[in-house]
Amino acid sequence: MNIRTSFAASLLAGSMLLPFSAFAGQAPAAASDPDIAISSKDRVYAAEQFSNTVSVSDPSTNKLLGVIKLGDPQPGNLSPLYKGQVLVHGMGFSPDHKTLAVVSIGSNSVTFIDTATNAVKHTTYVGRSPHEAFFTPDGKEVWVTVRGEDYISVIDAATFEEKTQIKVPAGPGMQIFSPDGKYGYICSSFNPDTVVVSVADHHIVGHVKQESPFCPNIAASPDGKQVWFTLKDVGKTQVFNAQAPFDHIKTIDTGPITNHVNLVTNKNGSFAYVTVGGLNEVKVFRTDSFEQVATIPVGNLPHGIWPSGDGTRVYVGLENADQFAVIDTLTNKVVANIPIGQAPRRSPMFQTPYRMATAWRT
Amino acid sequence: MTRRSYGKSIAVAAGLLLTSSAWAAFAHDPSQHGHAPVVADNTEAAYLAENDAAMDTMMADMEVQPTGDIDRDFVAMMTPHHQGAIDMALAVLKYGKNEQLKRIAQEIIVDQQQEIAAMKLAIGDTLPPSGPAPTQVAPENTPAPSSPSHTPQGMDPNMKM
Repeated sequence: MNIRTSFAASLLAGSMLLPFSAFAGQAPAAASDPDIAISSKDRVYAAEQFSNTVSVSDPSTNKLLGVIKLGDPQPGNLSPLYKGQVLVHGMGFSPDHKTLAVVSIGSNSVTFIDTATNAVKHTTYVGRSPHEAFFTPDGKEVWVTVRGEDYISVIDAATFEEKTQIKVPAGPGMQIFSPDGKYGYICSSFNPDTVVVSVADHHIVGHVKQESPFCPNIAASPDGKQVWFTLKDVGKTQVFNAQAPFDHIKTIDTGPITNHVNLVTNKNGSFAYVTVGGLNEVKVFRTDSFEQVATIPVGNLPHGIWPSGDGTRVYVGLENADQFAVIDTLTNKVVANIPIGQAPRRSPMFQTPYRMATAWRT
Repeated sequence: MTRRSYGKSIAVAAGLLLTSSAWAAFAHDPSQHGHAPVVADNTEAAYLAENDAAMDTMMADMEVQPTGDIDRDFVAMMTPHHQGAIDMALAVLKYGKNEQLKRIAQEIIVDQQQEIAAMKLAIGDTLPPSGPAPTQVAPENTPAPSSPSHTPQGMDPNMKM
C-alpha cells in the first residue's frame, strides 16, 4: 500500500577535507562559488505533506536512509490532543548548511532541524498558513511567506524569534534571495504582483507584474542576472531582470499545471528546468536564448525540483508517485528514482547539496 | 402646564410617534417584524442573487448519474461543489468588506481551482483550460438604498411596534 505524501528535497553535504565554503556555484547561490561534487556525505531532504515527515536520502546511492518525524499522519493528527505538525511542506536551509527550516502549512510553524544530528532544534509559530522559508545569504534571518495573510515573517536566525514583518501583496507564495544577498524576491500566489525587497532595510524597492495571480515558485540565477518564476494557473514561466529596474525579460508557455522552476549551470551552459505537472514532463530551456533544449518525461505529476551542488543532477518530486526522479543534466535523462516510500503530493522545494563547513559525522 | 394638558400633550405625542413608526414600518419591509431576514439595500440583494445562483448551479451540477466507478463519481460531484465554493468566494470579493475574509476568499479560489485540476489528473480526465485564477474582482460600490431609511428623529428604526 502506498500512502501519498508530498515532499520536497534538499541536499546537504559534509566533508572534513574541504575548506570552509558557504555555497556551491548553483542556485540559490552565487556562480563564483565552487561547485561541490556529489558524495556519500551529501543528503537529499524531502518534506512529506501527508505523513508529516522529512525523509533523508543519500544521493550517491539514491537510497532513502530514514525519516525525521515532525508529526503523525491522519487520523492521529486530527486528535484534539495532537501536538505535532500538519502539512509539512516548505523547506529552506542556512548558508552554512547546518540548519534546515521546514514549514508546516496546517500548524503554522517553522521547524529548525540540525543537519548534523537530524534533531529538531526549535519550532517557531508564525501567522496563518505559512508556505516557504529561506535563509538570507548572510545567514542572519529566515524569511517565511505567510500565504494565508499578507506579510513575510522575518525570523532572527540566532534566536528563532520573529523580529519583524514585511507587508507584501496578499498571499505571498515563495521568496528567494539574490546571490549577493541584496534583494529578496517574493512572488504572490493570489495577486499578480511580485515584489523586490531590500534585505538591509526590509523595504519594497520594486514591483514585477505577474501575468497571472498564482505564482508558487521562484528561483534566482547564480550569475545575479535573472529571476525565474512559475505561474501555475496559466501554465507559464516568467523571467525578469534580477537587477533594478527589475524589468520583464521573457514569458514562456510551459504547459498546464506548470509547477516549479530551478536553475542549473554545468559544462553545457546555464539552464532552467521547469516541472510541468499536467504533462508529466520536465522542460529544459537555455537561460541565454530561452530556447527549449529538452523535454524529459518523468513520473506522475512532477512538482518540486532542485539541483545538486555541481549542477550535474536535478531531483524532481513526483506528486502522485512513490519516489522522486533523478535527472542527469548533461544528458537530460532520468538516471535513477529514489523511492521514499510515500509519494509526494504538494511538493514544495528541494535543496541543493552543499559541503558543510565542518564535518557532520564524527 | 396643567396636569390635564400635560396628559393631552403626551397623548398627542404618543399618537405622533405611533403614526411615524407605522409610516417607517410601512416604508420598510414588513418582514422586519421578526420574520425573514430584511433585505437592507441593493448591495445585499445583488450579493444574495449571485450567491443563490452559485448554489443553484452547484446543486444542479452535483446531481450526477452514478457510473459504478466511485472515484469517478466523487470527482464528478466534488468538482461542481468546489466550483460552487469558487463562485461564492467571487461574490464576497465583489460585495464584502472584511479584508481578512477577502484574502481567505482569494485563497479559496486558488486552492479549489487547483484541486479541481488535481482531481481530474488523478482519474486521467482532461484538464480544464488554463486561465488566470479569478482573484482580481473589483469591489462593488454600495449604491444608495432604494427605500427611505430615514426615521423620525429619536426613533429607532428597529423598534418593534
